[in-house]
Amino acid sequence: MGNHKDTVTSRQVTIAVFSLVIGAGILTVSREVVDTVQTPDAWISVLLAGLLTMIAGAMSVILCNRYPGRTIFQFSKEVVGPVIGTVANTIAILYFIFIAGFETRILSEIVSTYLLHRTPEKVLMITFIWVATYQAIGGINPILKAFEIYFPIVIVLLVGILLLSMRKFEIINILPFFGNGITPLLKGVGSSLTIYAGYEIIFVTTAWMEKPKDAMKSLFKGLILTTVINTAVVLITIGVMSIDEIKNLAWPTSSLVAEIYLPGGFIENYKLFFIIIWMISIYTTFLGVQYLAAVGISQNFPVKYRNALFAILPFIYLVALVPHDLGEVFIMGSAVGYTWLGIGLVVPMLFLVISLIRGNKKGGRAKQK
Amino acid sequence: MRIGKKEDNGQNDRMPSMAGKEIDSDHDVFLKHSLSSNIKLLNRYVSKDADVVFRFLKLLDGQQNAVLVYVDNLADNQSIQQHIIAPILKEFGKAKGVLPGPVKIDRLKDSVVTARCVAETNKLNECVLEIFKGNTVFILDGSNRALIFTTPGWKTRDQDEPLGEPSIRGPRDSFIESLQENIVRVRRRIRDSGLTVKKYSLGRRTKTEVAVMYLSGVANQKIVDELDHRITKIDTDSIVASGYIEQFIEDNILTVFPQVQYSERPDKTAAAILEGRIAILVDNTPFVLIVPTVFSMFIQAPDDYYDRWIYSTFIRCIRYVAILISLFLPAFYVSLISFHQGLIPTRLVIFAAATREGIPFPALIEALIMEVTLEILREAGVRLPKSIGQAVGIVGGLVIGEAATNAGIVSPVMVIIVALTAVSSFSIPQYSIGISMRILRFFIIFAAGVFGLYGVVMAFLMVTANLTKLRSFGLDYMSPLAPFRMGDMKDFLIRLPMPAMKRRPRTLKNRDEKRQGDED
Repeated sequence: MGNHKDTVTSRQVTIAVFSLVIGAGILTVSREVVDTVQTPDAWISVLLAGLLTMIAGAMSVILCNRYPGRTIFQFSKEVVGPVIGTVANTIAILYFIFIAGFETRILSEIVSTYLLHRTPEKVLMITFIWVATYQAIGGINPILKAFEIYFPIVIVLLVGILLLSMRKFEIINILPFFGNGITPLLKGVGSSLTIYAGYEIIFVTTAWMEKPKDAMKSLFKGLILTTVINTAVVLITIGVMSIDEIKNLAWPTSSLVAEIYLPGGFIENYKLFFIIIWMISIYTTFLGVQYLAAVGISQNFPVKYRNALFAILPFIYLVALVPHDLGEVFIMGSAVGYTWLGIGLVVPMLFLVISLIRGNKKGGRAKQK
Repeated sequence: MRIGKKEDNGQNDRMPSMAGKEIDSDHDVFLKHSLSSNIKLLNRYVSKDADVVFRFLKLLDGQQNAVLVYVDNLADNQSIQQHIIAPILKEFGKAKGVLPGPVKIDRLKDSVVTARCVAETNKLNECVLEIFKGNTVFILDGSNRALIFTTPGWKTRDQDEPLGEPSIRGPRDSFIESLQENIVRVRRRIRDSGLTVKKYSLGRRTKTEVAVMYLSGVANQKIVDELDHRITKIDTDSIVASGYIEQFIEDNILTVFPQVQYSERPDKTAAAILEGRIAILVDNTPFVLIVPTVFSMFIQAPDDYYDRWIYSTFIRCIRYVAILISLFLPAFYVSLISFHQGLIPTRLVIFAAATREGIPFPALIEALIMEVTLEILREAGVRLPKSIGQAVGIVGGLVIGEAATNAGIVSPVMVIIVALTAVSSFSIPQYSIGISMRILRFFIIFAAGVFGLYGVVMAFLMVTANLTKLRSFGLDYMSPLAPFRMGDMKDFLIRLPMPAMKRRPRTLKNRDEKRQGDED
């Protein structure tokens, strides 16, 4: 039954986009955006970045639909030629490994900060990678099914936490709008774009969708959901804690959760739920990029998916070990984000343009298939 | 290995005597015309069996001989006497008034014997098989054909209430150990011409009869074919109970989750068949297997459908809560007590710490001691005769609950948690999934003891990973949750009112999806 490959439902694509995009980035996004924008309306940058991602995503879906039944790792060689295609794929694979390592590191940082102060981080990383690999061995369908199971848990707890933390929301904290004009907002778009990394899963899933025509709709649903959540997180964080406070916090979103107090409530500390959500969302992001890296290798080089999956594990682990301290982890996070601007946004557009110019014949042939 | 083809080769060398020869189904042995040589042939196979009866009949004043062969009491002696022997002797016993010449076997079969004749054969091995099925073989001198009459006569037990799956509003009948009776129980509930019964004979030595029942107009033909393929592939010498078949046909052996459902309730089985599933009935087993099975089926009880929907929905939600409790509660407690006191309310921490005052074990060991004790008690309760089993429960409960707490070995909070967990795991309708939960609980407690909450979440992720990889006959085990199907959610966490359940589960990809009405 291991080779059994079902089609992917539209809903699964939506949830996959959500699961991959919501990851480690959301923990620190408020601080990063506020640092660049320096005004309380930083959340508008996040919103704009979301809209920009949707445009990039739409182009990606158009690109994928020109080569039905094939993933980007397969058709990129046709778009830009075998040599450049292989190079581009290899860079993408390295990038996914890089994100996977980063997510692993962030997870171990959070766990050792909030849960297990004395357990060595290396042990946490290894168990985490191992659990994800156990899931990833099954291939794309079990991974997407797992996302579907986690989705309601994450969304309910996330929305619940956001609503509960609204109690201390001060409207004065988010005013004024456009206080310094639009220029700082546009600067902020660059840094907030980075948290939308992860929608790339559609480059692979579109190929196996039940109804490939729905790819666009599913992607949009997923991106709208993530944009709303990202914007809400930044907006509420600013509204509750003000931008001056946010700048000094390592994990602003988790500090937001610490503010929750429910009168008459039995639970005093809502961090428990927060940690559970973030462990799961980091796990889903990790799982997605790990799968993308492995599937990329298996479709480009003569290596089986399963072997590729195991082969990348040491590299993921090594990447996770690179930063020396939390500061370096955050630098790494920005690096991941800016690499994504190239790989996740520019390259698909470039590919689409090249494909449109060069490949009407090829696209046509692929459609006939 | 149980499945070893041609294991029988060389069997004859091990049993050198002529008597007690085994039937080789690959080589047919044919009956002869002479009765004495037929008996000699038959004797090779059955003479060692003291309970095989050869009843000789002298026809036409002793001019012609015949013999009836059957197993004493496996075949009903009275009906043999009444429906076979008496009519034959009445018609052919005396030569007077009978047409000249030897008795013709066709006439005897068609117009003399009143017992039902199932088959006519010229193969010896078939005769032997029929004898051991409880039928009677009739061999006439001068004919190389044998007649086989159905005369099964063994007693089956009276049906009981379904002990393993009691229900409040459901019917009280249950399956018993006879295949025919069980088929009747299902047929009585579905009077549809589409109800198909396919029979198989499994087990080289037990020749167990297995029946597969499904609605041919409804069930997905692919699943039917797949099941047929898997059943015919079974190559073993014995099928003692339906559990044997379950283990041969299940998709994945490396999981704690059962992928085949069993039931001793005819109503549940009929409902499953009507949903488009397939039932596998096995002779000598009161448990019927139902495939394909998904996880949510284990949480559904027949009463869910007999009671009104609000009540059923409420109960079902309670069951899901029970599953979560039985999986995670002790692990949660262990992780909070030993790692993250900061995450629980201060008053609760102080209370829990006070009750743990002087307990010599860490929380993990404490939980494991209690859980293992509980498992031992439960197992003892199951294996012992009923009357003693209850005593074990009382003694165990008192000793564990009272004495252990008083002695300061375990904390009272732990006793409460373990008890709640146990009760929760028993509230799951299907026993087999309860076992899965209990095994996983140990795993999760252990993860919690080593890695705290992180371990609990990782264990949860691993369990989900396992669940999402499972399939039962090509069906996703976690459907309709993953892949999500809105239509099937009507019967998942909530159960909508009957008029709203217009369609059969989509997951099954049935041929006929409509249950009610013409339109959606």
